[in-house]
Amino acid sequence: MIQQVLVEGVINGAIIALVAIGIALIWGVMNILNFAQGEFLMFGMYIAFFLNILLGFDPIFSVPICMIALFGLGFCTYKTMIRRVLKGPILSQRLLTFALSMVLQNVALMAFGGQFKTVPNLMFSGTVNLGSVTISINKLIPFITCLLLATALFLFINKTRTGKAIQATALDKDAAALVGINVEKSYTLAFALSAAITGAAGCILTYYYYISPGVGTTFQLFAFIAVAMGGFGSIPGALLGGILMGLVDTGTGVVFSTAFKYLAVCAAYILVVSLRPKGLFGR
Amino acid sequence: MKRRRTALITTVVIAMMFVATACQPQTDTSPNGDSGSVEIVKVGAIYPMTGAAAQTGKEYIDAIQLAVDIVNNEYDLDLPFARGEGIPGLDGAKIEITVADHQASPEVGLSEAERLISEEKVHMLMGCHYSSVSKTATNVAERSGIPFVIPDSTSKDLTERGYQYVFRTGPHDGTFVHDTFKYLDYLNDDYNAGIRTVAMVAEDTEFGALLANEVENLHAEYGYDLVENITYPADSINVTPEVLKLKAAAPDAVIMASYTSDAILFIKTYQEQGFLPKAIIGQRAGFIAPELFAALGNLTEGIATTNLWALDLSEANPLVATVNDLFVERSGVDFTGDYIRAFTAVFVIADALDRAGSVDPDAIRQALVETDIVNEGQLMVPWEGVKFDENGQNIYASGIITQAFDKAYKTVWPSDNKSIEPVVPMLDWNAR
Repeated sequence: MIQQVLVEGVINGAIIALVAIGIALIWGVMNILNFAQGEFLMFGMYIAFFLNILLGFDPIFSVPICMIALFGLGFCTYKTMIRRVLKGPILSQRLLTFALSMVLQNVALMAFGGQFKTVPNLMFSGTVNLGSVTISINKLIPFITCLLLATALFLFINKTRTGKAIQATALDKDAAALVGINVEKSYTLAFALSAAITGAAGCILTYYYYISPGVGTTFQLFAFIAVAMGGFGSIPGALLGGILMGLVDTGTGVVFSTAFKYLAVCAAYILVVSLRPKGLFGR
Repeated sequence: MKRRRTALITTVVIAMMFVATACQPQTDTSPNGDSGSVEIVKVGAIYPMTGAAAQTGKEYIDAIQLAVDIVNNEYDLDLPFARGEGIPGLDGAKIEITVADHQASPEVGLSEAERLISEEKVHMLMGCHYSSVSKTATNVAERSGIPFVIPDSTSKDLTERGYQYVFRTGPHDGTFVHDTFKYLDYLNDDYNAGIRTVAMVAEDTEFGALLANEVENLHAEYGYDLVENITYPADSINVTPEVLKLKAAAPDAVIMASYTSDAILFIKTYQEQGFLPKAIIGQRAGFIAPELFAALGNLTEGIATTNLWALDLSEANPLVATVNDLFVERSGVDFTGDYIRAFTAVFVIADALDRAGSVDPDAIRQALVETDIVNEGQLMVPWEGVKFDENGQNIYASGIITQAFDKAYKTVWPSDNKSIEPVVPMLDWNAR
């Protein structure tokens, strides 16, 4: 039972972690809290849904398409809105993404309707038995995809020249510009990458989750908590924060009562930030 | 200067209006009370006629009007008062429906009830679909001493306030829990299901909490062990801990009070975790949402839910289909659990008026108190009959249980009304 709880907790936390990584990336680079991240997730889910019912694509093969589409959406969002508002007061930066989230949710409501949907044709199903632990393939696939994507992003940011340029911009925008880094390019890339990675999370989430216009809101809330727990702007922190939340959520639910699972998540958050105000990996 | 004069004139006009109202000769504000020569019995129907539920309101009135037409005119049907015109006990007096729009607002419902009583001088009231509106509207009726029949609102509270003039013909939320246990008994007795233990899974708002409470109070009375009682937030992003707990408790049957999204998530997680009870019995809400079948496909096979009414009741009683055709002709849609209850309430009202022999509100109230209708196929609902307890709740009102067969619900209980044999235990998740 304990092993099962641990495994399920880590798996449930992985999706939150991927959304959290997207939020952490944008915050780390340009100090913007993106409240529309949940809607990027939702759009990823709808793309996976339509590719599945219209063309029979399994969500796992839709991941690259979702990433490209959401990269485009992130790119446009940055160029048309975020770039301009970065020059404005901090409050309008916050409110802009909040307003954007409302707009995107309602656009989805008008375009796709409010009914709950699920992806009907999945290529993989069944369970994997590992002695005392049973893992459903519907959850194993999203979990592995999440880990691969998080690793790829981590390597990109730390090992490539472009990634290092993004990091340099995050550390000191003016100094980065002085040494010849194209700050504008770093910002655009960071925002679009963040949208792409969240879109991929949404796409793969359809393996076991239902789709509706409001689906992103709850995930986003928990992703914010995960980001704050892990330390704002830290990608490994967001990953760890997400997985920690999954563990607390599932563990409390099974050991104590499911009525208290979100209470425990929030209590864990308060505990972490009172001991380490900048989060686990905060600098 | 000009503005001041306008203000003065306005004040004078308003003052005059007040005086005029006060001076108006006070006509009898109580409704027409003499029993000698009644030709028309006025019944006020308060429903949502504008706003999001306008279509529902319109179809409610279609159902009520159909029943009224059957009572008022000659119809060759085996329905009460169908053969013959009007109400015999009132010398053939006819029922007239006065429609009021509550706009889904308890405040408007209250003022419309007042208006119907004081201005339209209705003899009786009925409505209001929403429990919240029925609550305020019945309050006015009780104060004014006008009988109020609730066909549809299900909040248990409505008939637990000790009101004297309020009667509910339909079942309340608690009834469905009784139905659930009676259905389990039926599965055990007739199908050897061997169900001994149950688990309750309820979302944590008023809807789920109330049903969980009823299950907790009633399971022992029916001889079932409640091995797990789970409360969860309806917007959960995963229900894995809930299902792991259920799996550990291994109940024979699971009773679920869930909305649509969480019902979908639960059923998918049951499959993932390989948790398969012998029976899953939903409590309407998410389980009767049309998108459930689209979202879950074959996973719905064998899932049961408490329900109010289904068209396949006509297989046990062909008259249901005939009456449904009349309704389709008028409104373009089939009866639902809502409309059929409103339709039935009109016959309960007619029955009371017939025995009261007068339109005096207290005589009507007394007749309603003494109502004792035995359903011999003349009611279009699967109830044993109509008889009110001291709180005005119909003690015979009941629901039905429907089970999903090939992505549609069919009636499996009560046994007199079933159109298909229930399937127990449920089919393995992966063998679908």
